[in-house]
Parts: sequence; C-alpha cells; structure tokens
Amino acid sequence: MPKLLLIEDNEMNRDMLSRRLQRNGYTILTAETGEQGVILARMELPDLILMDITLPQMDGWEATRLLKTDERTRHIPIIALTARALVSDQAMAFEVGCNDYDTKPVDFARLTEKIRDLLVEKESQ
Amino acid sequence: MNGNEMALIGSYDYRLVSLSVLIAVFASYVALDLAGRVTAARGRLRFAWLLGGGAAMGTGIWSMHYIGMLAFSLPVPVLYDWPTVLVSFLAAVFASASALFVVSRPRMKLHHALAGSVIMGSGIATMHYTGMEAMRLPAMCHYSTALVTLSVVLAIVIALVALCLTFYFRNVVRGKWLQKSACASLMGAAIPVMHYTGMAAASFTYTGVAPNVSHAVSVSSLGIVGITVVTSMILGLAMITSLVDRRFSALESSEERLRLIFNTALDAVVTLNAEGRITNWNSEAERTFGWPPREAFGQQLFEMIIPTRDRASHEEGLLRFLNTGEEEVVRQRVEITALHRDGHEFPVELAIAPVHFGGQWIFTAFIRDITQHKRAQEELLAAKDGAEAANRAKSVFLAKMSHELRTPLNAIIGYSEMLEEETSETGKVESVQDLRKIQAAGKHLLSLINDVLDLSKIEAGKMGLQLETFVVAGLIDQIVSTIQSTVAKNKNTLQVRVAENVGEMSADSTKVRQILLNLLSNACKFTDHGTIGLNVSRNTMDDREWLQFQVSDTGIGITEEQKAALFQDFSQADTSISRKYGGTGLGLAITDRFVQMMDGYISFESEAGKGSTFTVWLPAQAASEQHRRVHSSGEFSAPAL
Repeated sequence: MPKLLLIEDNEMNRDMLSRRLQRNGYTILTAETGEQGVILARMELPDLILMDITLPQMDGWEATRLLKTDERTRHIPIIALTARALVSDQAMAFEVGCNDYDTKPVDFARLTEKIRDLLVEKESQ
Repeated sequence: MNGNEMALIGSYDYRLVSLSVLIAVFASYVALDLAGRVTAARGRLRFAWLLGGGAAMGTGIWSMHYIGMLAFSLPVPVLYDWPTVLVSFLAAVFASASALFVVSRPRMKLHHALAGSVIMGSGIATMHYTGMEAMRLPAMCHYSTALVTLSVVLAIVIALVALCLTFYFRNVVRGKWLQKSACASLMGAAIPVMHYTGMAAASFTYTGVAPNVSHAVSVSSLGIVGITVVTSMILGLAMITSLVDRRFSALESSEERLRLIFNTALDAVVTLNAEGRITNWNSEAERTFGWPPREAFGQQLFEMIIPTRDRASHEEGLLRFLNTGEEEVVRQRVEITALHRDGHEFPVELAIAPVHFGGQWIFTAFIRDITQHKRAQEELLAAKDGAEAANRAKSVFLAKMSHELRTPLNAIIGYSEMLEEETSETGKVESVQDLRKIQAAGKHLLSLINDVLDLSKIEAGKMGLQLETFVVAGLIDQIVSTIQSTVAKNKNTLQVRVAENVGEMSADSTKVRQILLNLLSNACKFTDHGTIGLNVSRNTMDDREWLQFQVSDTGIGITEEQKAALFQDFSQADTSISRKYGGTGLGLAITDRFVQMMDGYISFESEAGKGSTFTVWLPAQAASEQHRRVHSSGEFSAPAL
C-alpha cells in the first residue's frame, strides 16, 4: 500500500484530502508545517509527497528544496499544490525540483491520476 | 466814352503763358504728392504738413496767376499794390490748405468734396480777383458778369475734379507716376483755364488818371525770373521733403510695427550681440525676469537669467558655437532653470536663433516661462501614477481575495465530493442528489472566482504564455468530453468537424482550451434544443499558418445594441440575462484577452433569435513574447473575415 505524505497547514483541507486518499487505498501521513514535513519525510521515507506551498515559516518551496538536496529523500516524487494559479508558481515548482504541480481546489480525479502516474514511473526506475 | 476813355487792348506773351501752365502742372504734382504726406501724419506734425503743403501749393497757384498776369501786357505801365498782392497770396495758401485738409481725411464723402471744392474754388477766384485789384494802372477795369460767373464756376468744378483725383492718388508712393503725372497735367491745365477765363472777363479802358501808387511795385523781367525761381525752389523743396520723409516714415512705420510685435509677443524675446550682451528686451522679458529694459540693456543675458551653477555651460555653448559652429545651445528648444530678479528659480523653455548680420553673429532668444505647464504636467503624471497604482492595487486585491475565497471553497467542494462518494456507497440516493447540488454550486462559484482571478492577473500583467506544441485534434477531443455534460443540459446536440490537415500547433494549450470552453459553454447556455457546432480548420494567410476555430449555435443570438459591449469586462447583454443564465460577464472578456495574447483574432456574427457564430484565428506557431511585441506594432493585418 503506497504511503503518501501530505504537508498542508489548513486543517479542513488536510482532513478532507487525507480521508479521500485513504478511501482510495493510500496510507496517509500528515504534517502541518514545512519543518514537520521535512522531518517526517526523512524518518518515514514516503512513496510520494503532496506539498502545499503556502505554509507558515518554512514554505513549500523551501521544504522541497531541502528534500530534493537530501540524498535520502531526493528520490521521493513531490507534487506541489497551490491555490495561486500563477505561471510563475508553475515555473517555480519545477525549478525547485517538484515532479508535478496542481492547483487547489484539487480536481480529485486528476490528482489521483497524477499520483498513480508518478508512482508507476518511480516503480519502473 | 470820351477821348481819354478808350479801350485798352492787351496782348499775351505766350512764353510766359506756357511757363504759367508749367508751374500749374508742377504745383499740382506737388499737391498730389503732399496729400499722401498729410494723410500719413498725425497731430502737430499733420498741422505742420498741412500748413507747409498749403503754402507750397498756394505759392504754386499764386505764381501761376502772377506769371499769367505778367504774360498779359497792356499798352500802359502797370504797377502792383503789394499789400493786396499779399492778400491774394494768402487766399491761395488758404484755399490750398483747405483742399489738402479735405483730401487727407480718412474718408471723403460727397458733401465734404463739395464743400471743399467750393472753398478751394472760391479761394482761387478770390486770389485771382484780388490779384487783379492789386493792379495799379491808369485805366478802369470792367468785368463781364457772365464770364466772371463762368470763371468762378470753372474754379469750383476744377477744384472738385482736383480734389477727387488727389484723394484717389494720395497713397500712391511709387510706380504709377505716369498716372500721377497725367493727373497733375490735367489739374495743372485746369487752373490756367480758370485764370484765362477770368482774364477774358476783364476789359480795361484808359482813364489817364494816375493810380495811387503809394504801395505799388513794378514787376520787371528780373522779377519774373525771381518769382519763377523761388516758386520752383519752394515746390521742389516741398516735393523732395515729402519724398524723403515718406521713405523715412515707411522705414519708421515698419520699425514701429516690429517694435509693437516685439513688445506684444507672449514670449520673452531678447536680442543679443556677438558677446552675448542684451540689445533688445521686450515687455514680456521684463515681466518674466523682473528686469526693466534700461537695466537689462548691455548686460550678459546668461549672467542675468541663469543661476550661477549652470551659467558656465551656457556661456561655453555659445562660445563653442561662435568658434566652431557647433549648434549645441542654438537652434533648438531646451528646458532650463532660469533665475528671476527676486532670486527665485523657475523652469523656462529657451530657443536661441543665431543670425549672421553685418559681418557678425547676433542672437535672438525666445524664452517662455513654463512653470504652469510643468506643474500641470507633474500633476498629470502624478494622477496617472496614482491611477496606475490604484489599478495595480485593485488587481492585487482581486488576486488575494480570490485566493482567500478559494481556500474555504476547496473544503466545501472536497467535503461534498467525499460525502457523495461515501453516501453513494450506503445507497442514500436523495442525499447524493443534494450533495451534487452543493458541488455544482461550489464549482460554479469556483469558476466565477477563477474568471475574476484570470482577469486580474491579465490586468496586472502577471499572465504569461506557456507555449507547447500539441496535436490539435487531441485537444479538441479533451474539450468535447469536458463540454458533453453542458451540451446535454439544454438538450442540445454537438456537431464537431475537425479538418484532416489541422495537425499540430504551438500555443498555450491551457488558454486555447479555455477559449474554446468559454465559447462552447456560452453557446450551450444560450441555446435550448438546438445545435452547437465546432469547426476546426487550418489556412494560410499572409504567409502564415492559422488555425480557425468556429463555434456556432442556434440560440437566442445577440442584438445590435449588445454587440458593441460584447468583449468588455462584466458586460452581459443585460441583468435579466445574468439572472436567467448566470455568469459574471467575464467569459468573453477573458477569451478576447487570451486570443490577443496569442496574437490571434476573434470575431462574431449573430442575428437575434437565430443564433451566433464566433470565429477565432490563432497562429499555428505562436510567437515568443518578445517577438510578439514587434508584431503588435502593426506589421501585419487581421486576416479577412
């Protein structure tokens, strides 16, 4: 059962998204802040990370950068989630090393498709 | 008639008659010439000219008379009583002066001309008959009443003709001298006509009574020469004076005109000599800089009106021009800071024009105080900056606001979707229906917020293009599957035709998708039980490949009034439309902006009640942004519709 780490500060979004993903057969770890997320990722080495970008203190960009420069975690695919649908955000996501990008509110079907694709890709590597 | 009283037969010396006629013509010419002079003069000068002119012309007429008298010889000695002669001379001068007065007025009305000619004619007649009275001879003088009357009438008529001619020719300065001479000849000939008629009216009978010769003088041949010479000199002098003065006054009046223009100019106009010293300083210069002309003359312009710190550069510029001809400070308009006499500084526009005159350079400086202009410009700029800042703030606000709105909406849509999934598993169909309504409303709200966000991003200039190459047919498939449910809602059918040659295009696929989804969802929204068409084709126009997307419907159409505002923000046909069909009115505005961003064109045809067709052209190879900027300067035109 694939293990996903959801880093999201908004309680309702975190709760809703984690429950829906669980119902789709994923094991979900959650973190409320960037710092927590990074620690949890290093400890648990999840199969994929869903990274909210607008986080207090350490934001999603910074957390991604840390994880992608860390030998232990760099192989973990990261999907950036942001409510800001700006082109610059999209560019930024790839620049810091995110594997994919989606906007909030999430289109759940599309998100799960992206998760599946990335996991398949990771398996094949 | 006794033996002592016999008629005296006079005889004429025709050489003197000719001389008298010549003098009359000369006097007339001078009179014509003087008339213009008197007209041009004003005030005391005019009075002096009137008096001088009258004297010259009077002398001419009077000389004509006396030479005519002398041409007439009687077989008795004739002496002249000089006081009477003087009176006759004064009469001639008076008559001439009144004539000049009449013709030198700005306008000559008929009654002026008539009164003038009566005065002048009577004056000449008075001169003539008074002159006759001055004769002292041992004879009686008789007059034929008829001829005397005729001579007076002739004098008046001649005077009228002379006045009219003089009035007409008074302003002829040069040229037309032939006409003027002809006119003078006519007038000059006319005066002797009067004279000799008057002479014919007189007959002399010998009385033998010695006349009273207490004040009488005789006129010898020498006297005739004297009269002729003096008259010629006076007339000549008058003419030369008039001529010279006319030239002079023409110069003076052109200078006066220039001075007037100079002083009434709304710009400060200053002339400088080669050393940059002020030689002219007009009224506006005084008003602008506070220095009166008497203090400005001879000063260095730049020392007076340029603040110390900038002075050297201006002086150097002028020097450089004088030495090398480099036109750094001349022949162009520059904005500089000027110094007022009271010490305050203000902005001026300065233009210095060099003129090569009399072997050296002189300069004319035109200076305009642009304080008001500057202030207005600054206010305008500030207002513009303010408006732009406000607009940016608005866009940022909208972007933030829509972000803030989307976060809770995220939860609403997410939870209702999750509940729907859970509920459908437990089989509570009614709840599923309600949850779908919540989702639909939430998604609608989300699309509205997205529209506002998109538009504010475009407005704030934060919307870029993500160019990628994709298969057009693939995109159309995705769009068709997305729009199916919307098509079905109003029981419409969708007909899609994609030409075989459409192939690939390089564009921002997200925006192309949004353009087509907007147009299609509009078509669906405003059509009931109708047909929605989507046609895609590829064409070459202006050496460029274009993709043409056509979205047609058989819906309510667009009225003429609605057409004008169709692509404007928040413009829906009217409020009843938004109540019935929903939407923010941003869809077409965003569509239009996206099309423009990709260098494309959008047009529509519509008939109210019958349906609408929207056509979008997009270049198959969208240019990069830099390239687009070049194109947007209007290098190519829209393809024909």
